[in-house]
Amino acid sequence: MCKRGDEWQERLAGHFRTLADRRATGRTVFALEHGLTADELDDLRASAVATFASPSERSRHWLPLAVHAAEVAYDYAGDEYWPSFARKTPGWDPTLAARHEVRETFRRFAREYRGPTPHGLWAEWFTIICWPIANAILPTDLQRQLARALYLAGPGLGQRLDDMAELGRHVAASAWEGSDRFQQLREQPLLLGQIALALLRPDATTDTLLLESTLRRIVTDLESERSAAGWIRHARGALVRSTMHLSGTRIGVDHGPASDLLERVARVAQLTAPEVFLRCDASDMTWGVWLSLPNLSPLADLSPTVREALLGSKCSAPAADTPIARGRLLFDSQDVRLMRWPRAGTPLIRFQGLAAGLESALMRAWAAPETPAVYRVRTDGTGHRVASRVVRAGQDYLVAHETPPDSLRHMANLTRCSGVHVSRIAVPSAIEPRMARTLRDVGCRLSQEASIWPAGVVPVGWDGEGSVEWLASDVPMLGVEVDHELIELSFDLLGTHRETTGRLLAGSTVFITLPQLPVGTHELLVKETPLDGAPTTRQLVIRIREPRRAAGDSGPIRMWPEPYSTDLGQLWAGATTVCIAGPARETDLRFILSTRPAGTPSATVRLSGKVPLGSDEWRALFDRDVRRDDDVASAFDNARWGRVEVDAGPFGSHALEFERSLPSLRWAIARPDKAYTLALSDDSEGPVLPEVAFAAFGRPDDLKPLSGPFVGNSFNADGGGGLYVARRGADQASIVAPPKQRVFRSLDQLKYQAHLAPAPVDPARLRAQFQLLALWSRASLPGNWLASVWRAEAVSLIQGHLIGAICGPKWRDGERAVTEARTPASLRAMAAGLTSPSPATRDHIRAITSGVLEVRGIALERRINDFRQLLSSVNQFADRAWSPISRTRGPGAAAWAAEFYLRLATDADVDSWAGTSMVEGLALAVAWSLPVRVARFLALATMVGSGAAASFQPPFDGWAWR
Amino acid sequence: MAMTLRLTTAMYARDVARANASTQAGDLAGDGDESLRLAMLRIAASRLCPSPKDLLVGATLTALRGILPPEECSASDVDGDVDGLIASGDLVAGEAFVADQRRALIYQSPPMFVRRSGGAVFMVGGLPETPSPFQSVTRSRGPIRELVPPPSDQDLADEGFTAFPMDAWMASPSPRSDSGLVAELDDRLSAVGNAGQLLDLEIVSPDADPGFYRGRWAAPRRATGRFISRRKRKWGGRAWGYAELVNGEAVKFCTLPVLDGRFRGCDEAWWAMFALDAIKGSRQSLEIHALGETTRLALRLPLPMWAQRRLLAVGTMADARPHGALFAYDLPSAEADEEIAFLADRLWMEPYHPDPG
Repeated sequence: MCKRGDEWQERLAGHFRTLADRRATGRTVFALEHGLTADELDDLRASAVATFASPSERSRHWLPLAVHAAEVAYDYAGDEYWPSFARKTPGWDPTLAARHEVRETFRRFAREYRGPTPHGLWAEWFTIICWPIANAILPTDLQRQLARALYLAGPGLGQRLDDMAELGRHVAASAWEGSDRFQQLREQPLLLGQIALALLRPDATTDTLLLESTLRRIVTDLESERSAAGWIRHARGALVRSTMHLSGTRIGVDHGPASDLLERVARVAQLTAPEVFLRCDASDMTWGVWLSLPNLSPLADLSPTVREALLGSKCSAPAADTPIARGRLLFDSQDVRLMRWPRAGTPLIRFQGLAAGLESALMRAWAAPETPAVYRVRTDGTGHRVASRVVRAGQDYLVAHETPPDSLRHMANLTRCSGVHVSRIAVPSAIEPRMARTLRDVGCRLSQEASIWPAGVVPVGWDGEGSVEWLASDVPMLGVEVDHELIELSFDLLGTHRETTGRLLAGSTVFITLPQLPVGTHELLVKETPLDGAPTTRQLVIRIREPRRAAGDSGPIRMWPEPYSTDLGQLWAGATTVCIAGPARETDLRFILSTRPAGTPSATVRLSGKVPLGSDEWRALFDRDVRRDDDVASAFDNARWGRVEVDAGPFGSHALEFERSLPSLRWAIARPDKAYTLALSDDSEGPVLPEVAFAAFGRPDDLKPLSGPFVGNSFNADGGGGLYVARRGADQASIVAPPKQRVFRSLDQLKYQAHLAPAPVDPARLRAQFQLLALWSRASLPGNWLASVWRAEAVSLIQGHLIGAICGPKWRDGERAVTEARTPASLRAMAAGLTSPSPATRDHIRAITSGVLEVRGIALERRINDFRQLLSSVNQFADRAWSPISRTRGPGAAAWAAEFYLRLATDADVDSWAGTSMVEGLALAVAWSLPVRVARFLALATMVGSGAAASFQPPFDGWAWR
Repeated sequence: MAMTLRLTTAMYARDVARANASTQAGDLAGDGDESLRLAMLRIAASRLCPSPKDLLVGATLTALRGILPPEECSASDVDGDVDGLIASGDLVAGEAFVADQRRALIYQSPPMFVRRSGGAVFMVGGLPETPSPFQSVTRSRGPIRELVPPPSDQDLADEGFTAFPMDAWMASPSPRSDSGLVAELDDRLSAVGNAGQLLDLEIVSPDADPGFYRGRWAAPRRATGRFISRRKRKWGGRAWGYAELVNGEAVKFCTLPVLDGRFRGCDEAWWAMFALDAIKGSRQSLEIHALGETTRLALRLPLPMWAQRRLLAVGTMADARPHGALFAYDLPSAEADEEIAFLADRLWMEPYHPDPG
């Protein structure tokens, strides 16, 4: 029996009891709040922890165990908890039962002292280690993420200090970037609020939020990292500044905070609506129709649900042919050229896969404008819509009609956008009655009203006539100039506030200041009572919003991941890229890897790129200068964290950070010498062990089970390399092991060679092969460059082989020729295989494949839509295979089938998308393979002329389905 | 702030504008219209950048319509203010691909500061849509926002301000002789092709008084020869150049800058004007007023950004300027000689002390 252990147990019990009693109900006590000095902790480790080999000692001294486990967790960086725990706990037996004992210890701590009870998705995956980690409050690698979240939350922090849960929710909403574990913290707003408040007001805590010594320790650790220290300081600064927040009676149409999420989405969507505008093309002086997409981060901030929906669903502008850069939507605004005029009331943006309620909430605010639409020409060569259609003397306008009135038919159409007629109208300074009639005929409203403008401060938005947007911190004011004598001019802020002038002479200017308006939309009615004639009333729409803080970026450089992901593995594999916009110049970039977030770099690569930098340029740069470097590849295998920095000259540097995703079931790879070793981790701590299977590079279609045990034991990977798959229930982890490092005697040895068994045509067996294809395509990649090249080759090979089974060997041979030559001539030769006895089908094929080399520039939704016409003959060619799909999907069957055919041809993970309908889809493809050939023809066209390295996300660039 | 709708006069409207402007500019020196214009332009930049120059100018003019008299707030004034804020580091001129075409855009600088050799601090840039955190200690003088008393580096860092690297702040083009500079420009102009039709061209008239900057710009009429010039672009801003004219028609036009891409077209144009004046034998005068511990330097031609930044690193823009001067800078007398020598050497200026009477 350890007497010292008893003393520690007693001391800690007294300490935590006092803390729990002192702390208000609803506030958590953490095991890390032990209040021990470094020397005392050493003593606790030397006396109590040293006896943990004995179950009875552990049971009696459960509080020292909890404190020790929380201390280990404080240093946890998302990789290996138990090996680290074992190293620091001599004699401890790392059995599953012993781990369960640790969990029980923390459950008891939660019961007796109001310790945290972890919940959320991460806690479901990591069923035991989530307990010590939750008790570590803010493990060191999460500290930076919280600091950044507080920085981004800055403008709204001050108003939420009195409500911890609300504070937590606000911080959580501001921090949509971060690791899975940080996500877990975000899911617990009260806890997050408690920690955030303690960090923001360290002087005011006095143990009521966190034990002072614990808080000091966290703050010291946090401030030892430069950027985190800066973020925290800035967040505290914002707290001081934000005391100006407005209060008072709400007026206007804003009815206070919307409780319903969809209602809040609709409201914020109104303040971040896309805009159809016109831009002059200086080369031929025509006017292009453009869609300006706002930065959608205010919407993403509303809730994790909305954020995930925006990031996860496919985004397109139905009237545009070009794809939308989805990753950019939450970082910056972007413009997309519209090829067709969007019909009034139809959605300007579609999010495929978005919940119906959410989509309709967005669509209410994001519908296309009605015509005629009047655009005021600005001096920068753009035309912006005047919602009221009011035009003024001496100004230049463009008027857009879906069908032009007779008076405009003789005028040249100034746009090449289809479905619209754009005319330019220069309103003379003196307007004759005939001109006034013409203006009315074409849909303009000639202003004979006072001129109104936002005065005294530049608003964030102003359409020049009737719609203005100010920040909540502005003192809003309007200027009014009357060009004819008025008996009076009155202002009415929706019935609650009124003000009236006396008589005003023509040429007078008056100003009117507005009261404090809450965030939202308001209406101001301006009534003019002229000396002669009837009074007129006009409506001014006033929007008030909070300032938006860019995600850490200011100055002339913008950078974002495209498509959006902060997963280091995705960046390495090329599934996500880094895009940079800003002034055109040569720019220095750095790519840094580390084994811990913001830790000592394990590899640093300097790159030189040219801004603006797009996805293709990034891939080329990254492949040439980063992935092919052996040392960097090895560093990547051990890396947890990566950072891409861009040097903005005197304006400092900008950076994006990436973290390795660490699911509960995962592979790790290392190369201690020439051979690679693999290790499988399973943090779910479940009783069922994962099954492991292997497919060699030489036989990629043959997945064979391996016998273990594997978890916790590292083993040598097969010398030839290949795919390792671990499965436990629905959880799955796969990794590509590179071939053993050896001296290559000829280039032929670098060439990928494999043998495939004949593919089945039975749909159910064919599906199994597509599932294996998906495993190859989704597998994690090691740093080794050859592994990624061979993986890409294996995926292309299997996919081509399966397509060959459906379309026949002759077609397969043709595909091989295109893949090698990548020339228009080789593609043209394939067109011979796209024949049909039906003239209508031949017409459809011609329509779909005309201009095939441009297919990459067309949005996926449009490609699907175009492809649908081919399905009009489906009954004729695949009646029996079509029936089950038609029965299940009803009117949406053709659209589904069109997407299925395109995905089958281009998406290695088509099985995940099709799910249980995969077999029906394959039966259709086998019964009528012509659409498969057409889809492959389109896919092969994206290869023509491209010398792109095949080492990135296979199989086809330009078909980014996810 | 008003709690209800309130009709007001232009005078009070001006106070509202100043209150809004103070969020970026702090205390506006004196009652100057220029300070209010510059402060409003900063607000426009913090809300609209990246933005074409004309849009910034238009938004600023709208916000001040009826508040400042038109003669104190013209498009040309605000256009010049944009250049002033670029020189002071608040704004950055750049190009970006907009709709697959290169377009000139103005960016707001991130929050930064410059600490003078004497310890004084002025700040540049800011965060989008965010008021300046140092409102109560900010004194605006022309395009410069000085912090008085100067905060410590730590205080500035706490608010997210980083030091503008002095090597970047003090960067200047490599020295050239007056004739060498003009010869280089001539070579560049000779190498360009036919100019095509150029509308709204203005040239620096060789016959005008070199001491009156605004009066030096004139329409080409029937001029023949090579001239520093500028023209309005179809969409957005003004292009500075060096032009060859025959009977008032431009046959060649070389858009500046051509010698050093780090600086603006106007910087190169003004540099060349200093050189051309020197070659003609009428070097630009540098008027020196000894005011005890301070020395005031007055100029009649705008300084290129690199020269202006150098002066701002040791001194400030003067509150008052001598009659006829376009700009004046106050420098600590102990450092004035070095700066005077720099201006005489690099811009071929003629220093002189006017009679006290």
